[in-house]
Amino acid sequence: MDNQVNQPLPQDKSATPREEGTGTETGEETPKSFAGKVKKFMKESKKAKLTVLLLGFTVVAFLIVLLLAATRRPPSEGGPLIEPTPQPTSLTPTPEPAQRQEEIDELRGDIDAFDPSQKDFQPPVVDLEIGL
Amino acid sequence: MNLRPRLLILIFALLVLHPWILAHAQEENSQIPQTVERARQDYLFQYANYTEAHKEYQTAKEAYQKFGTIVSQQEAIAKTKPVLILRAEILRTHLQLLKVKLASQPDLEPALKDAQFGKIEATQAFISTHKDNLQKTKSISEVNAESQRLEREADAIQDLAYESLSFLLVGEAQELEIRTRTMLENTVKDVPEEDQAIKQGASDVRRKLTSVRVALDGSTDTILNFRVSQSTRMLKAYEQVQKEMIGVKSSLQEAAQLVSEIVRSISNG
Repeated sequence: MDNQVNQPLPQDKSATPREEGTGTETGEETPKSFAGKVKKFMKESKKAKLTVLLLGFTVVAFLIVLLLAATRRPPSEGGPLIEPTPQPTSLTPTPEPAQRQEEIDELRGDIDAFDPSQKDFQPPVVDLEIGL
Repeated sequence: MNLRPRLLILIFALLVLHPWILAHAQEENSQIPQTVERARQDYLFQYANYTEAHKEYQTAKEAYQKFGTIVSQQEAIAKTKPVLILRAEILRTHLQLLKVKLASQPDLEPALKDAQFGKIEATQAFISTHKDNLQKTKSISEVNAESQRLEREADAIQDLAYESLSFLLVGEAQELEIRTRTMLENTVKDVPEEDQAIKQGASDVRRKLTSVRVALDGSTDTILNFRVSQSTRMLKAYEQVQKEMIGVKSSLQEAAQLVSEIVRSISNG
């Protein structure tokens, strides 16, 4: 009688804790690692296989491009090092006389174009007695 | 936290925020300055349409007055409504042109500019409502009443246009004055103290530019004083500003001529 009480119920599955990643109700193995999961996923569907392959190809291509870019050497390497030209400290560099003359000519042109009559912007003349 | 709830929260947040994001994007788009030329073309296009519609309205009105039939009455109403809408559209696009032109003035005082934008936008809103009302009119009396509604505001709209034009003149002259002054100072900054001729020339230019600045301040006061008194039509103030600007233009021309001579003298050594 005592033996019967201590025995687990035959259909109570929750009483026997399932080990993680070991199996399913159907008896299939559930892989624990990411690679295993991907492999299983690929086995199940052709579309998934194609997607994974394409993804893999993209990642490999990206890595190759990255490596090529990193290993490319500048053509001047090995030759004498050239000091970079120092940048002018002033934010508004003094223009050359010819450039300055050009600027003043432009300004004079703008002053000549200044039109106090504002012909192009005058208010419209409209009929203010429209009606029947 | 699992990935799925996070994703759901993200999608939910996007759904909730998307009207705000869209509205914000549209607001930013509307702030993109419309070019003056495009605004001018819009205005001219509406003006051409109005001229055409006005001819048709006059013909239909004459026919109605002559025959007085129901058919001619319906025809006259049908031709009056478009001309009224186009009249309103001309006024709206003209104000838009002035607004865009004002926005393109970098040296106009921002507070002044904003106040003017506010006035223009309020008037444009009134015009838009007037246009909507016109669409709903059916009888002659409704059409006439709505037409008179705009006609009553015509003086105020014209005053606003002349006020904006006055500020535009001041803004443009101000920009030219600043450019001339900057060019002068950049040109003479490295000139040695002993070079008296150039120093004297620079001093003459500064004097001229100061007189320009005084004239511009005076013109701004003229416009602002009109705003306060409102006793005369704005056209008078505008004409006064225009006169002042003719003098300002010749002072600027003289100043720029002197700067040009200074530049030439420096480059010749």
